[in-house]
Amino acid sequence: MKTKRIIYLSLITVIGIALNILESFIPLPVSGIPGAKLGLANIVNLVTMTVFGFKHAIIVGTLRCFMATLVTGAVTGIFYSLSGSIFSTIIMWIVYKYFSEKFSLIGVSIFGAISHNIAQLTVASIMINNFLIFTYLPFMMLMSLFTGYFVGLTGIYTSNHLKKIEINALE
Amino acid sequence: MTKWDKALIIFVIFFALSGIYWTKLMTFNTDQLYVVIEVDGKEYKKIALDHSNSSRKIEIDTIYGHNVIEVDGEGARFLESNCKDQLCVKMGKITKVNQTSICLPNRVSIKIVSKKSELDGVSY
Repeated sequence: MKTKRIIYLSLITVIGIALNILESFIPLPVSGIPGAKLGLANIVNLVTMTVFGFKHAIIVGTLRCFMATLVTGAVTGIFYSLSGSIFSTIIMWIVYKYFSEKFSLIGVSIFGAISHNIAQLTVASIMINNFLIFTYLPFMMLMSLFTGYFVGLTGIYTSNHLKKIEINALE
Repeated sequence: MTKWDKALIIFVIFFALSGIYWTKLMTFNTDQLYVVIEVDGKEYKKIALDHSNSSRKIEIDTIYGHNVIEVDGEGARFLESNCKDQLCVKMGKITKVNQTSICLPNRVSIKIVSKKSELDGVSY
């Protein structure tokens, strides 16, 4: 039982790393917002959270951040990605657990994307010691609406199928 | 997609747009402008523009000549000059960043500068 779970989690982590690399090849067709990205790897966090639970989502997110940092070579970005991943998972779990009858996964994922941005900007403002960077937040929030919507949509389809497989596989 | 999702999306759009508007407003207001008066290439005086109506006259007497500069809330101009061509007086008032007005014979120049933001750019 436990081995199967480990295998599933590691597969999901690998998918997350692959998405992370893939996403760095895709340019966003929006000029004027540097630093904005699709956040495809957030699909993995979302799906892990809905299928396996909060603890495993944190583990997968942290592992993915470390591995993706080593693979893509952006070592200085580890604080940004790690803080964003952990904070967004916490917020998504709170929204998913207590407000899941009100918000669908799309809403959960939008919450996650916005909290991801907030965490990253907080870390950035601490690191460069300038809080003026928070003026960037509204632009990031507009972008996170679109990315959050599509990540949530993907998460709905993926987690529906994964939940069916999990029940057969783990019993 | 539930009703609450749509409400969230509308709320976020509203919040982001008002945030963009507010930051525009804030950066416009904190964009403090200064008039820098230079004599012979060296900074002689730096005066902050405060958007008030009061004006002040600054007289500059050097070995090159005599100039009177008027600084008010919006900008600055040469009011008088004892130079021959009077180009600096004809230049009129300068109000925008990086505009300059120079009295070449008397080696006096005034220009408008703004306090630069501390960040040039941010990369993730």
